[in-house]
Amino acid sequence: MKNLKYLLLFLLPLTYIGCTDDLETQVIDPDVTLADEVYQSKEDYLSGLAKVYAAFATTGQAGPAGQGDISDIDEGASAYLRGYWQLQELPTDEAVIAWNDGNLPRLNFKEWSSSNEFINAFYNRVFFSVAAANEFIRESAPEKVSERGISGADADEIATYRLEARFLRSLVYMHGIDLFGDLGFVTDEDPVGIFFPEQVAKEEIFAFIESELLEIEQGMLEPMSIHGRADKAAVWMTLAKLYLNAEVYAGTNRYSDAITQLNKVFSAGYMLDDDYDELFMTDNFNSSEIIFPIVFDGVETQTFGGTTYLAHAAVGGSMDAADYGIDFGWGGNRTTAALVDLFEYSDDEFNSPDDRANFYTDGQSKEINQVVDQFTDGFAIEKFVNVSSTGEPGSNATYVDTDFPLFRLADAYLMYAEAVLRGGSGGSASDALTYVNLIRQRAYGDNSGDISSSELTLDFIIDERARELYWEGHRRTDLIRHNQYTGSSYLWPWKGGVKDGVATDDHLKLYPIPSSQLFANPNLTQNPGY
Amino acid sequence: MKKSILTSLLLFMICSLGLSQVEFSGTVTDENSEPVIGATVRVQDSSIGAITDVNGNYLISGVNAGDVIIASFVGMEDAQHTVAAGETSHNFVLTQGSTALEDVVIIGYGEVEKDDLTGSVTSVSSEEFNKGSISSAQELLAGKTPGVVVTQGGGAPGDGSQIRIRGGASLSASNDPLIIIDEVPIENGTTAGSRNILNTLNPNDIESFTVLKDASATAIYGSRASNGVIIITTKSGKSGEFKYGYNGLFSVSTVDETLDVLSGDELREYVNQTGDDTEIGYLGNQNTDWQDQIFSNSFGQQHNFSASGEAFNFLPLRISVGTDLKEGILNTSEFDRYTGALKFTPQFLDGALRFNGSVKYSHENNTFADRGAIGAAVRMDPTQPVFVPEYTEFGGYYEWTAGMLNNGNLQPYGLGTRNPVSLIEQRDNESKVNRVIANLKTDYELPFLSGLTATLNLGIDKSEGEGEDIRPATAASAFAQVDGVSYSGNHSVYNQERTNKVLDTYLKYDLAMGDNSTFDITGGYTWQEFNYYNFSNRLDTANVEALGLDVLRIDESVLNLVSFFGRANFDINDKYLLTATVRRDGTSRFTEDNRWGTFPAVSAAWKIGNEAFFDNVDFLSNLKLRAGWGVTGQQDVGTPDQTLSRYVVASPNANYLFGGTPYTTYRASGYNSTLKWEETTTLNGGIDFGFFNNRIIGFFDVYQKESEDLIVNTTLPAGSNLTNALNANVGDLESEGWEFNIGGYPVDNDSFSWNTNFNVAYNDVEITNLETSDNILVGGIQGGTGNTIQVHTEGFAPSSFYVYRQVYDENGDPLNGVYIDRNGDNIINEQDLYRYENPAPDYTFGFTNQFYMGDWDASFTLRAAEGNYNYNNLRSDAANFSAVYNNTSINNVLSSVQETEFTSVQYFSDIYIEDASFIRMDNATLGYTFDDIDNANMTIKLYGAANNLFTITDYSGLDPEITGGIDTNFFPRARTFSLGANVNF
Repeated sequence: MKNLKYLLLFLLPLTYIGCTDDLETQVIDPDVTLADEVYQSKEDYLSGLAKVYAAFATTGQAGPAGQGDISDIDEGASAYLRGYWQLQELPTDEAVIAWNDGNLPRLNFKEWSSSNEFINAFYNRVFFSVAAANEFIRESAPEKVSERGISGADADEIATYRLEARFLRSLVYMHGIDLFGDLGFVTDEDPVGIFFPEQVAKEEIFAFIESELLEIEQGMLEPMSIHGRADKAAVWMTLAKLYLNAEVYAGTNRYSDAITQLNKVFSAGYMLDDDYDELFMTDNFNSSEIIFPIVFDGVETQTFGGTTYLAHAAVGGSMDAADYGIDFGWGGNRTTAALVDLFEYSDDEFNSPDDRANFYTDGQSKEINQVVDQFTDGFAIEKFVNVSSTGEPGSNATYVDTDFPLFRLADAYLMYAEAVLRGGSGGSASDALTYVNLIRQRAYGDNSGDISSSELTLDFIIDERARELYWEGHRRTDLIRHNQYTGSSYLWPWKGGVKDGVATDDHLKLYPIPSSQLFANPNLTQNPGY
Repeated sequence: MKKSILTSLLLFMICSLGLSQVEFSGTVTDENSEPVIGATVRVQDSSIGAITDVNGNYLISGVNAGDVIIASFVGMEDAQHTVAAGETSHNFVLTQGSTALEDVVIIGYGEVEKDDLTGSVTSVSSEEFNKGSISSAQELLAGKTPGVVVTQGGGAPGDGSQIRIRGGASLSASNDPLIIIDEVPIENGTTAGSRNILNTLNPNDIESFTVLKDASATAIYGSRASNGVIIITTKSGKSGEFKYGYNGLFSVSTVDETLDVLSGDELREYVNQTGDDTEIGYLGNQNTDWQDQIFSNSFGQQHNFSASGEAFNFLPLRISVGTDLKEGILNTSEFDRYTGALKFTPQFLDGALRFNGSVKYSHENNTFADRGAIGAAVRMDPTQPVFVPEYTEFGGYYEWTAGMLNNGNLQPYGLGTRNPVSLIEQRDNESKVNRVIANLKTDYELPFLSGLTATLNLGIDKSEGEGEDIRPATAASAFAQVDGVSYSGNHSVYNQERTNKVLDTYLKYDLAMGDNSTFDITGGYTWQEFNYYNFSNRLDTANVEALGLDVLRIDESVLNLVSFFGRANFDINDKYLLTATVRRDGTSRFTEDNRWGTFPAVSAAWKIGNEAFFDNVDFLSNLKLRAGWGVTGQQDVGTPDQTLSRYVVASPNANYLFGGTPYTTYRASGYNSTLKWEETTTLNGGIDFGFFNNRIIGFFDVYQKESEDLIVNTTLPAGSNLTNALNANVGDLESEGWEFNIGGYPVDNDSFSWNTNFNVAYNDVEITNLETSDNILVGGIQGGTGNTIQVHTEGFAPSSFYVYRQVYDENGDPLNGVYIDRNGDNIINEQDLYRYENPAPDYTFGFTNQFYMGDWDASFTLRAAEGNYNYNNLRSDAANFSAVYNNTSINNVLSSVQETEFTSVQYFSDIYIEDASFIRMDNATLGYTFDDIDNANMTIKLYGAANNLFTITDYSGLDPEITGGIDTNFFPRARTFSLGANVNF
């Protein structure tokens, strides 16, 4: 039985049997931290909050692309601002896009369906932001903060961060009801998993947003405290927009409340910048007019969305990319004759006394015969550029430094005038006229463009909003509020896919809930007409 | 096939007719006294001989006393008899030859006699492999067995191939089979820098492939076996004297075909007619054939040396070294491999203690040519020259430019097609990969209980790849601009390590019960760990700092698998076989609640040919019915930590500024803690048959597979998680098919023998359920941003093409951008897309033939597929006139633009979905053997071989065989001719 010693050879590894401890999942990647370990300090919380902000600007955790936040679409096209801008601008008179990417051209013509991937992507983007905010709100709950050994001033500061996350969630939900109506609604009370959120009527979400904003207002930073952080003025502007559109969102007249909020903005000390064009240049972080920007930086905050998209997509044809501080144009966005015709011209060369008429006409035709694949049909627009007010190019020719002004004072002035015209109380027609003429004086460089009180009508306002705010992501919402987006009251080139424009159906005021969501969540009901 | 048998019978009759005066006769039988039909009986050193008839009888004339008569039959030991004076007859009894050892098939954790298999298992041994200039192990197997589709990834030297067994069983998860090399199950990931997961194997060292297809065979591998299992066994040393072998070849690869594009003159004519002055101004005056500039004939050589025998009288071993040096037809691409293998199989204690150890080492040097040049060569304006000497900022290469930079250099135009020659020549992308696979398996027949064997197997697979990719400052493809200053060139590096350790230990108990009945049972435990480390960085630090890039990345992960398994085999009277297996698997990929899965299987076979009522059917030598059922799994999807709530820290370029200060962002990633295995249930039925003493053998199998809980990257209910789509168990897939194989020696006599194998397989896959999605878009294409051309939809095959139906005019010409409005809403949008065909073939065929005539031999392999479709992305992107005007540059287009005359790009037209059915001659060889050298102690075989000799297809692209069915920058397969020698001494 000397052979028995060979048995030892086998007994040794047998001790492994039953050893199943190795099956605990391990995370060893240096870039990855478990949720329970990530928040150790105030700085960690600020990094967590920074993501809730960055969700408007970047597309993932590696700039300019990589480790995308959402999938099912090219990462650059998944950007919040790019998606929001396209849904707000392309179906209007302000913009058409030449790119033949999937169903992107359909947005030009309101020919979308519930499986349009760009609509789907923005819906997903909205809920990415909501989920990111919810996660931060959960993790920054006072009891969790104190459990993690953070107290005193640091804990107080984290409490402010938490309010800002709630603000950002409200802002995103406002975009959500504006574009999609009733939404599958979740808050920080819901778990993370795979479940079916209940669909909540837009009126109820309206009420939620309002109550959230009113609740957090006092705890927010004072206006103009820290560039890039949402402050009280951002809350007031959001409330004002919510109230101005309350008839659309909730069927209620809240113009007086809008005026109340706008008056708070006006008393905060914002001033119109002297030069309109500089609002869209790389040093617009110095602006005294911008109330809440989405911050971009060619080195730190790289993305193929945001102002990188806006600056590149607008350049094509005979335009020299270097004039705009970029490496080359992407040849996408132009405008229709309808926007061009809102401006007055001193001659046949489309020279306008209005400083805001930033059309590029060389080699471009005003009329559009072919929307897709033909950049030179339709005037180009020189607005968002990667050049500073002193003519210096941005820090990176590909990724643009320019901030996007989500809220600015000129918008607030026009909102005020509109709320007054719509019968809101707490303001005055004379203040409204003054505010509007401040904008006009900047545009004309003198009083020559001033209007009289009789000229200040809702029709004037909707046109003036286009002249002042074109390509800033307002147009669709504005046209809906003025009943010009669908139907036949206002036709513009290629409205409804026809060169001269054609009436479109009212159901198009809301985008469809993406069909992928209807499959994923049986609690959702499609918007009427789809 | 029937014809061939008739031919052999005819031959027999002709021989029988040649009667002469001196006759010698008898019968040839096997050990069971069954007649051996078609055996060769011949007189040594003469041309006299005969073939036995259906009763095993033979008759030879002209036999003299003292002649040596030899009886032989495939798979049996030769028998000989010296004719005594006056003798006129002799009966031969042939025994199963030592070659019968090859009929032992390696299966999971053991081996089994081929006769006793109950599942669908095929073995392909080295004699049957594809021949010629072959560098990747997968190619040896192409066309050899039904239901196994091997698609070469492309024509780059050393490129790997995709293997699909019965079409695969997953959607998002891997469809690759589990590959086991000498007892070490390897991971499905290819190490960075390596071209092929199997590049560590020198094809010359491979003894056999065993393909386990159905679940009753694969279930012993449990959670990793849904897509089938391929067991690769390398050659080992035999006892006896050392034998040495050398084989080598020299090859030349030629460019089969290039795409038809407009010539410089044709493009000039078109632009002059249609362009404006600016556009006409872009034209040059050349007629450059850009494809000709980047492709050329290339050379290769392989040398392998092996020694095999018994060292020190106790250590059978085999040692081999090999080199494989091969250039690709795309200039600069190159693959150099150096391999070494050692295998030893000593036995002690009278065979009771057996070791089986192997070490395989490979070193791979690759030079990767920029494949972007292939598409660029189609699009680059042929009116432009290759070189413009004054363009010193581009190294003298012509490029499209966009004005002058501050430093006086020309700026490359960002949207312009890059010069293909510059793409290739101004890039140095190289890698080195070292890999070792080693194992030591010990079997010990325990002394206290006869029939009990303990086995321990320890294995490791470790690979390390490193590479660097350098583009000089003059490479227009690596241009960037920051702060108004241009930066050019880049230098990136990477390093990746994968380690995979395995421990198997099991006990087997064999019991013979008399009456040809046996029983055995195996039970064991296996543990495996996979470590992964990846590092990447850029070394052009000046650029990196100026551009503010975040380039340093480190990724690491670890995965553990632990399993318990058991198997029992019953063989009753050598007629009824029953196998039952079970495996219980745990993985660290899933959370505790979903970590464990159980995978059972049972199968049975009835050797109906051994029943008495078949005794009188002489031509039938084997008939076996098989049936099996089993469950297998798949867990190879996503990252090992995807079920945990975790945060990802952003790279510095994804920061956000507050008050002008950048802050790193932390993102909570989506996770699905309920993720679990996919499960595939397979039903398989089969029949094995053999005729004329197994001279003709074959099988027919039918199967049905149902995959449940498929892991699919699926859309989540928005708001419920932290992202929009995650891997979740939401889909079901069903496939069914059949396989037929027949082969053997229709002709086998002294002067001529013919070995043939024909197989055909049919497979049909359908998605039967996608719980949460109507359409999952897949199949990204080149052109535009984020466009996809394929879709997973319930009720259709996976990856069906998703396109618009093209409208044609009365002359049958397609109308640009006019499609059928399928839902009739007068709008053409994605609601009008329809699902049209898919890339998977319905039928696949393989046909292998080997001929031996005296010292000459020849072979060829044909392979075919029917019903596979491709999306011709090159055509959709570059066969429309609008592609000519590329903003401020000119592009070339395919000549086929003249067929469609499309004026704008139409990515989604079904006109680009083309039938890619094909017949291809994979290889053909002709050889001559000198066997009389050095007193017959040495043989030398010289041969010529051709690979990829011809392809018959209607497909309009360069090659119909495209992995995934989207034809973009496909590296065309070369036609390769080689001359080689095999020397054995």
